Amino acid sequence: MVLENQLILDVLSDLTGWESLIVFSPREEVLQVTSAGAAPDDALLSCVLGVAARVKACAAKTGLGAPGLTIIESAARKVLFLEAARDGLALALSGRAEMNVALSRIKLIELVKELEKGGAR
Amino acid sequence: MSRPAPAPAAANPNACLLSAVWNRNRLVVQAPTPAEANALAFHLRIFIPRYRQLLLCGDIPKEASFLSGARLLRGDDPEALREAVLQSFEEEEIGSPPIQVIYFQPPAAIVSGVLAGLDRGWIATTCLARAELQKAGLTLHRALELGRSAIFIVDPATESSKLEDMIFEQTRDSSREVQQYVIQMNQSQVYLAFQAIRDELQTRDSVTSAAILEEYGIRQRTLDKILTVGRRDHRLDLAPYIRDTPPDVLKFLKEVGRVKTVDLAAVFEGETPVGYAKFREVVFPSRYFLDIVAMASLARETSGAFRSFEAGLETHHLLIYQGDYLYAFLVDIQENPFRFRIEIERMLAGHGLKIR
Repeated sequence: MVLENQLILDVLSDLTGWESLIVFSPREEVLQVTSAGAAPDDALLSCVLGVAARVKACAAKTGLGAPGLTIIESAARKVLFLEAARDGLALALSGRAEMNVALSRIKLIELVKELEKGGAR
Repeated sequence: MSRPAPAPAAANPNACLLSAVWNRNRLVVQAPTPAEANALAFHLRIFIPRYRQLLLCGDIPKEASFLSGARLLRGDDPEALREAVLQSFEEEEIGSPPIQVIYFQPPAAIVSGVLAGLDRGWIATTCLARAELQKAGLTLHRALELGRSAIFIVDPATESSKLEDMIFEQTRDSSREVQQYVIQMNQSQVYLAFQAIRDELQTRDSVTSAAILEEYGIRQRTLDKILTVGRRDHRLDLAPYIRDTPPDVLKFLKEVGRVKTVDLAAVFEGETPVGYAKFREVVFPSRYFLDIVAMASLARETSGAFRSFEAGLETHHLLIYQGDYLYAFLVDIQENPFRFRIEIERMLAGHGLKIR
């Protein structure tokens, strides 16, 4: 179950700097990559998954609850990661450094909602 | 003849005495009769750390001779006594537990010939007048007047007694037994922590106070006590090997403490913790922040150097910012991360620091 590419493009149409949206399966396999620019490299994908797993482990060990939205910012790139409540699918939105975090947060949540309500094929 | 200064009015007299005994200061318990002096000395018994070897000398009362683990040193020959006591102090150098001498009713000749020459670790009971004690070579720096009796502290007050004040504040309404338990527990913690830090330093050049505060789960006042008691018990000064939190970071952390939503703040230089402040009870080892940053830096070649990280958990936000140092926070989930970042940037700027 993945999102329609058109839906992704529609939702992200007014978001400057976004490069790719990756859908991960509960087993952390890449199910779908939608790119507006260069596709994400393997290092970025393993970084995103690694951080998500690390945060989940830390939160579980310390009783702080399951992680929601995660944002990683480096000199040239921003990545937002969010696990959908249903099905255990996860979305990662990657973009250039100038990508607006507040707006991309809203867009990502919108996409997760679409995924959960069945806007997926 | 000069009179000793009274103990500071604001200080709890028991905290002052506990501090003196714990720091191995020299004390004279003076009363009109030996029985009254002994009773006062027994009042101090719960202030003596359990790990110290008690060395009882002089006119030892029956009840004292049954103190568990105490060594008795009898005889009145000043020369022989001095030799015996000095030997016990020397044994500390080769690993024996620190000793605590309690000398019951020493004659003036013993005060001048034996006790006055020892720089630490004794308590004497006496019926001698203050003038006679001073004539015997003792400088009485502080006095706690207790009706007809008094306790004189031979050493000047140079160290903070914050931990002792806290202990008596915490046990203000408790029984003497509970007080004893809390005192002994703190003393054991300080003793064990000193040994652990000393052992740790055998494999490292230095440690940071931030790492000690976090790993040992102690506060700054306890670390200060560890260093003081280490100097007095073991004649070993660990302070030069412990890196303090940089002053700008310390000021920043104090300011962060005023933000009600921050539960934990940790500051790192590379992978070394240099600042740590836990404002509310929360479990989150600060090395977890480093683990996350290490993982987030994996894509450095294509994405560039790590700048910041934010994760919303059920109860807290995990926020990490790279700047002059690496700043990490555990903040209540009600906080707005954007607003928080702006606030942190403003605070850092106030201390000449910044994030990228």
